[in-house]
Amino acid sequence: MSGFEPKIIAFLCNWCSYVAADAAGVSRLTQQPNVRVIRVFCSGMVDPGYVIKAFASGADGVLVAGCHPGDCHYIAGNIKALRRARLLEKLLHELGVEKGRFRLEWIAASESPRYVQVINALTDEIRRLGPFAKPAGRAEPALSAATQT
Amino acid sequence: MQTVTIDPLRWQAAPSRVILAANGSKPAARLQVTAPRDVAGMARGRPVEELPRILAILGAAHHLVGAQALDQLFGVEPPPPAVNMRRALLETLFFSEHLQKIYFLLTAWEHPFRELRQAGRGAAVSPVPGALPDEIMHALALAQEGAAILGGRSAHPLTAIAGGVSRYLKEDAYLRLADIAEQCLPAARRAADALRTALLSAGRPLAAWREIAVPLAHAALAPPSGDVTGGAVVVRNAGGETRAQFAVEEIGSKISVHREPWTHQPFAYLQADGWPGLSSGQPQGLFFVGPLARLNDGQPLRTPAAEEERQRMVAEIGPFPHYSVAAAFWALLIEALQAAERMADLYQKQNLIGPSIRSVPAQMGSLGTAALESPEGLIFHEYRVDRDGIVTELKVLDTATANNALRCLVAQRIAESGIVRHPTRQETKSRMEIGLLPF
Amino acid sequence: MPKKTIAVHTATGCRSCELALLDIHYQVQRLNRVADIVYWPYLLGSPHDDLARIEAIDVCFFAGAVRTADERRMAEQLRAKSRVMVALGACAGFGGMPGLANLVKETGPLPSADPSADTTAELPAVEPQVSGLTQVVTVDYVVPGCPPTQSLVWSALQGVLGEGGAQAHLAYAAGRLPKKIAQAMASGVQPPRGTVFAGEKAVCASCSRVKEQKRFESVKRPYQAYESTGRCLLEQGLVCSGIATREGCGGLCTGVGIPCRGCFGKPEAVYDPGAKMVAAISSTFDAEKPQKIDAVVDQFLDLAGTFYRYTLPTQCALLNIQEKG
Repeated sequence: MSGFEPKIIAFLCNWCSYVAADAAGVSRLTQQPNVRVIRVFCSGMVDPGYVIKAFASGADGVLVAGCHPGDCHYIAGNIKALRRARLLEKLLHELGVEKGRFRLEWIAASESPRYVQVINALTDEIRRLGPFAKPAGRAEPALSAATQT
Repeated sequence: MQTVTIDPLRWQAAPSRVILAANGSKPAARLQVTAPRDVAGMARGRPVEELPRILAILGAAHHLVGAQALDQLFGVEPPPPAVNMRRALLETLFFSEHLQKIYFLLTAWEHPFRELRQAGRGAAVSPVPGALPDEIMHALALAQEGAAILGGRSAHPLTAIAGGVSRYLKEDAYLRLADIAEQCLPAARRAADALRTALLSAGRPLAAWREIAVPLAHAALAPPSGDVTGGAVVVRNAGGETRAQFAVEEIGSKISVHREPWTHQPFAYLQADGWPGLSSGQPQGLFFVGPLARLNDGQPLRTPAAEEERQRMVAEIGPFPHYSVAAAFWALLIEALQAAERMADLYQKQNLIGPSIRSVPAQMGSLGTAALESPEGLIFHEYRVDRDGIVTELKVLDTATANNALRCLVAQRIAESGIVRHPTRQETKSRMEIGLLPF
Repeated sequence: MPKKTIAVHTATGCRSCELALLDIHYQVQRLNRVADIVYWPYLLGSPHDDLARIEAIDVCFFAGAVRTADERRMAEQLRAKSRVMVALGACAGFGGMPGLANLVKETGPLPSADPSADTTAELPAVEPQVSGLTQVVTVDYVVPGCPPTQSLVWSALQGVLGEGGAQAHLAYAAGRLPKKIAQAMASGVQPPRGTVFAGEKAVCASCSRVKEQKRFESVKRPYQAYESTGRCLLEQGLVCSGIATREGCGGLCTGVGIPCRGCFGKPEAVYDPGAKMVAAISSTFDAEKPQKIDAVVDQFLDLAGTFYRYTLPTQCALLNIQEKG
């Protein structure tokens, strides 16, 4: 897959993960340049539609990063994000999207090395998975001869 | 070899056409369904309780047999008001679907739209009384209203669920149902009288269709459709000999399905006999379902108006069993009358109320099976599920599959018959359509 | 005023949509007063050859999903001849239930033309994916539903034929349809192209059930016990797609205790019905700890087949082929 550079959209929450990302940049930590950042005020405001739209618009991977549980600036926004993410993962899997393309992570404001580690690992994973191809659905056994209609 | 394509065929649910090949003196007709209906693709992977709703697209009665299959899967028995509501809905479907076919038959001579009729469009000389199509349409509308009250809506009903039905009827519904039933029976009687005298009697336009007959074995539930939890399937041939008899649960293994490369519609046949092909002349293993199949044992009917009509039919064209197109149309009339009479009984409020309309399942099995007599004939559903209740395998026998062999052979008979010498393409098309309509 | 000409055709479907046109019961005679039906194979027996002889059609009502090459050709032929093309029903409008076949990679051996066999009866080629009419030709209007309700079919007919219409009908329709359609109908002009003949909000707006607090603790499947009348189904823990479905049916299914499955397609404001349902459900269940969340999520099954029950080919953003609009 030489030559394929993943496009990753990262929704980073203003109070934690965005700060970590910013700090990582300022500290000149080495990170792969494949991420486009979208700053949101809380991971809980990332509608599942944004994730799907990102894939439909050409993203190869999507990251949603929020504060650790208990640290959310809006109390429980990140828990909403967690519920959404679990359901969304299930839906994506049923549609045939490979596991690993969409990820939810908790990254505190002080954890800039963790931010770098997450995006580097995600970029490598997406590079391994290849470009996002329109999913063809899940594989199913062929209709048995005995099954009618 | 010269071929003529007759398409599209009127009144057929699936897109269909007939390919006629002039084969020297013996013409060959192929009844083709030109698009697949991939019901298994829609149903596998779905939670099993969704199936009565999904499979209702095969026909409204499939909604009911699906609910019955769920009852069996979950090991529950619906309480009496629910059984009665489902049964009332089924009878209403008998009435409306048979009347729909009768209406279509009339439009062979009468234009569906009144003003065009009055302006002279339609057959130059129509044997049918002018007001009859509108009367039938009116009765159909009433029956569909009844079906909507009982089933939530008349096309693709909703309310039959695992263990019962989803809700009690509203208070004003009972009065309306009584009203509807009161009007349906006289309407059915008028339609039967008119059709018998105008079309079915000797010398009338449908009399010639007594010659188009394909004597396959007839298959029906015994006891017949009075009991929706029907017992066994009985297959009898023209001589009255029982070819096969098996329980509903065995349908999946006793009836097999054959596919031909020239049509998307599969064929049902008896597994024990093997697929005999359509041109063997020895149709062992083939059978048909439907009103004629249900009447062909010649048993008297329990409702008076229907029984009277049945006896008139016997007086006119002889005792059962019958196989002709004319007989099939007559059978629609008989069953429409029977349905109207039963609706009058079933639409009573005291049958439709009670302390409960649903038995909630406590456990789930892995296999659910059910069959019932739908207006077009015997239908069957079998669901296999995993431990989450997701459908892994399903078997559905619909009437299109059960009657495909019969219909192909009817098309062949029509092509061979010499009712009209050198028919025009339009005449041939019209004859194919009329011949296939009652099945 | 000269009568408009109408054609009615179904591709792969169950005929309920065509019958919905016929079943406008006492109104069906009025249909004939304002329209001349020049091509309706199912009801009038119009042979295929008739179509070649017809120069132009004013309105074509096309039902059914497109699965075969023949059906695609028919759609293109009818589009070329028709001034207005109406996708009638969920199959034509969105792909319908046949579209669920697109969820699986392998659907088994469907018959195809076998070159070695008798060539007098060649079947049209089956396409690898099921398509809604909107993906095959440009569609002017969509009448959604499986099947569309009678009132909608009637209001669509009036809207599209440009007939003034009786007051009672207009009042009913005006209450249900977006203002621009009602206004168009009242003035006898055609509604804007692309109009979907249904409401703008979600089904919840018309649903008669009582909505209290959007919170549930445990998931219910429809075969389990629940209040069939009264309380909102989503609040009781059932999956009900009403929140991601366009209104216009009057809350028909929820009114009889059955959860909505989305046969009217997504409302204008929703980007993807599956995403909307994920958002709605995840906002509604009451779990805070990760294990509890996982346990609840595990109970939801067949999300794709439920959220996109009628709309997989056209409204599932990830599986969608480019729509021609």
